[in-house]
Amino acid sequence: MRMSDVMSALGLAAFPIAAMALFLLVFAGVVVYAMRRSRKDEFDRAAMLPLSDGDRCPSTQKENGR
Amino acid sequence: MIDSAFVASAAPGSALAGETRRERVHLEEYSYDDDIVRKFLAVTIVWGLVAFLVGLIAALQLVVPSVINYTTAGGARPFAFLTFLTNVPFLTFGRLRPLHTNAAIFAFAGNAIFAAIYYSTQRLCKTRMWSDTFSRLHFWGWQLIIVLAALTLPLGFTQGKEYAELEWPIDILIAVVWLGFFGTNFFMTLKVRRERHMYVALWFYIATIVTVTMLHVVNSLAIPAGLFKSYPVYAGVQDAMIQWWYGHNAVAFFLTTPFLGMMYYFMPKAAERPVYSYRLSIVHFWSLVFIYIWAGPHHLHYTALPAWASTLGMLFSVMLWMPSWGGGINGLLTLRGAWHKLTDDPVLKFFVVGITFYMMSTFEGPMLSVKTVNMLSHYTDWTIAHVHGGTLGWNGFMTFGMIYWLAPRIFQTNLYSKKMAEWHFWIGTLGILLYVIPIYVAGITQGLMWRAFDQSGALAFPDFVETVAKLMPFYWIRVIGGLLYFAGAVMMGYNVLRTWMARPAVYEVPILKTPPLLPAHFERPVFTSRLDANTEFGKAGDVFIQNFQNAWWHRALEAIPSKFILWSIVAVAIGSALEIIPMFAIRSNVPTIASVQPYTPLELAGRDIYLSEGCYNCHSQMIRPLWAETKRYGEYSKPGEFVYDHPFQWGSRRIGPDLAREGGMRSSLWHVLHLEDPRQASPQSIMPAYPHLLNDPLDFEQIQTRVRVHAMLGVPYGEAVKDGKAAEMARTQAQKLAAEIVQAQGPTGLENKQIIALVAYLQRLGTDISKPAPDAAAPASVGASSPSDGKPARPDAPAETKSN
Ligand code: HEC
Repeated sequence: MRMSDVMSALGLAAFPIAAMALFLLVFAGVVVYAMRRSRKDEFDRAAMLPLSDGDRCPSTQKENGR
Repeated sequence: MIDSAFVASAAPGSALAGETRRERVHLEEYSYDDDIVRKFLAVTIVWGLVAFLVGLIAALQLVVPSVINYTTAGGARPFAFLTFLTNVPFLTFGRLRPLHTNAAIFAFAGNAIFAAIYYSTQRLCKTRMWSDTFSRLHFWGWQLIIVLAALTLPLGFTQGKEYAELEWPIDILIAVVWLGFFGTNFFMTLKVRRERHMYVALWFYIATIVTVTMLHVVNSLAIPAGLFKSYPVYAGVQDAMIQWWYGHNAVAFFLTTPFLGMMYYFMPKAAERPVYSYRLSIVHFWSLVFIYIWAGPHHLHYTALPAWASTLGMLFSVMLWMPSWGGGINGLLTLRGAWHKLTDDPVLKFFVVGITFYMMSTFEGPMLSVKTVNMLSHYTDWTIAHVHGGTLGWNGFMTFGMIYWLAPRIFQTNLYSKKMAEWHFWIGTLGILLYVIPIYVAGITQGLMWRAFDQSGALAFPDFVETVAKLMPFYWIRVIGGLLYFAGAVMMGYNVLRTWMARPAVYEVPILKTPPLLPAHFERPVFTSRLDANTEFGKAGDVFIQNFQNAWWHRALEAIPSKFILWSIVAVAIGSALEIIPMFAIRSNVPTIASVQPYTPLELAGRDIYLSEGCYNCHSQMIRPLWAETKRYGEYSKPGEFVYDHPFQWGSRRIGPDLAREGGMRSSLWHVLHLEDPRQASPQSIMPAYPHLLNDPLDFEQIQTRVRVHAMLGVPYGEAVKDGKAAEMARTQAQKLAAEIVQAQGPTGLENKQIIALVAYLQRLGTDISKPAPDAAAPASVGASSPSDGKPARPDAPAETKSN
């Protein structure tokens, strides 16, 4: 008996379907999570992140340009 | 180094006491490494120009054969000087096309991604990259890989799988540079970040790094047969499945997710307002990660892949449409209330058109993966149009927008010419339209011609080359479109060059200060049941629901990147495993056919030439069970026919006809003349000429190693693995075939030339299923086949037999 005989006997044919159902469920969970009202403030703050590059000190360093 | 400040914070319960506690918080100073961004930006432009130029040459190669012979002026052929585009070995379409795709994806898009990631990650994490040395190792390592690719691909060193052509030593280098240098540096930067929340762009980057590593490693597993030759461990149907799982996810995780990260970072930057909806971006992210990984098999509709796999691929592809559009709209609406900025900002113009192309491609993709549409579109130029809408429009324009936004900032001066950038935008847009529209038309035209029947039920265009000649006008317009797009990119190169020349003598490097991130102070809330009269089980359920509603677990997840990474890995790995394992495990997915035997040593050598010349870029070897196809090419392809094909060669585009049943269709002499110059045999052909195959000697001794590697992979080569045996068998078969060619009045002295192996291979293709099954009692041996005895012994295909 070879490994592939064992694998064949496992009845894996239903795997992809089961996995699909699982993935759909997780996906639905994510949507519910993201749409929750209570998270609004947190998300608003997060959305501003790209617009702040950090607070600058008055001093700067130099790096050779030309 | 350390600055300190007093920060007022209300201690818990202090409101009652009416007092505040003053805490000393250290501010840490740091600066960003923009030098690495400048480096990646520069090479993005350089490699972009190379990639576009090579594409332009490839486009020309498909039209010049039609003018070289047919345009005459007073007896002379004014275009004869262009012949070199069709017969110089290292310039032929089959070798150049992989160079073009690899340069566009991994060199142009790749370096653009790195520039975006190095710029935005530092700023989103409020820290410098973890290691400047790793950043540099990543940069130089990646450029080395590109140079090696540019050298090996034209020389014909290839693994023969689309977008994964690079040979094993380069594959190893890619893994080291990608995960070892880039990945480590990135994840360590996340670890030392000073901003608790990981902005959504970072999530997209994480998914990119993790998934590309997995795809690359799994798809590239191969056994070397020399420094620049290897065979994938998978064969036939399974190799096809792995390859397109890789291929499609390369689109998803190399050309989509990192560019979405780029969109979510640079679009708000350029528009100077936050993204339209942050929660939509979360849904966008998770749905892509969960759904994309399954979509690969839509590249294999109606092939020998089991139908369940391709149906699943279709389903998931269609599901992708909504989240993709959600994300696209999210990007566009970032401009809400600021649309007027569009009129005088080329950066925003590039972004808006780029995102529009993203939405077009993500609508068209699901449409093309619907089986009935795919039946028409597969193997035609429609795919090529789709891909170029995505790459030129989405990847190209997002990159150009980013470059115009970054250049003045990282070179600390003004952009040399905004007007020129505007021109680039318009010329580029026109270029894309002139590329994509005629190629759509070409694709649909050819698809319809292939399946057209006349009143008597015969194919309306039985000669394949008729359907090729029809496309020439469209191919010419494509050349013009490509030229415009290239011209736009040249303008950008010049513009950025002049900007760089105006840089200051020294760059200012701002010093920033931010408090360090204290260890996550996250506390898991404790809930008690709100129910008083209920069973223990009911109460436990209520606690569970409260836990879920509070969603503390997701906040915990976000705060700890390693857990977040773990979950993305789990998501993609589960998706992949559940799709791929059944493919390998279920025996009935690949019914074996008793009469299908391994290639002879000579045919195997011929197959290697087929791979290295890149014939698969123009020819498929997979006949779909559709009437128009079986009528044109013969019996449809069975999964069991490919069990010895390391790698599979099903192809994806038929610029030339399918070759799955080529064996015995033509005489060997015809093949020799056709390969020497296809125009000798088929005047309108656009296939490259391979005169060098008639001169270059075949290395018989090398065949032994190759046979042995195949035997290691489980191909029953029997006797042939013995020392010297493979070469001997190959010589015998070569002499027999060469004698036949001489007998047919063909050229002499071909018995030790490369062409003999290639012709032997072509004559073997697809003939096995019509042979009688070998005696079951006889030991597995390699059946030498020659075209004379390759004639169908049984006209009907034998029933597939399932081994038990
Ligand atoms: C630029 C795309 C292109 C490449 C690359 C290419 N071919 Fe072709 N091939 C064609 C076209 C177009 C035709 C149809 C016209 C003709 O018969 O020449 C064709 C026809 C053929 C035929 C004739 C099929 C038949 O029976 O009518 C064979 C055999 C063939 N090619 C083999 C090869 C091999 C082997 C290679 C690699 C060494 C190769 N081709 C590379 C485009 C290409």
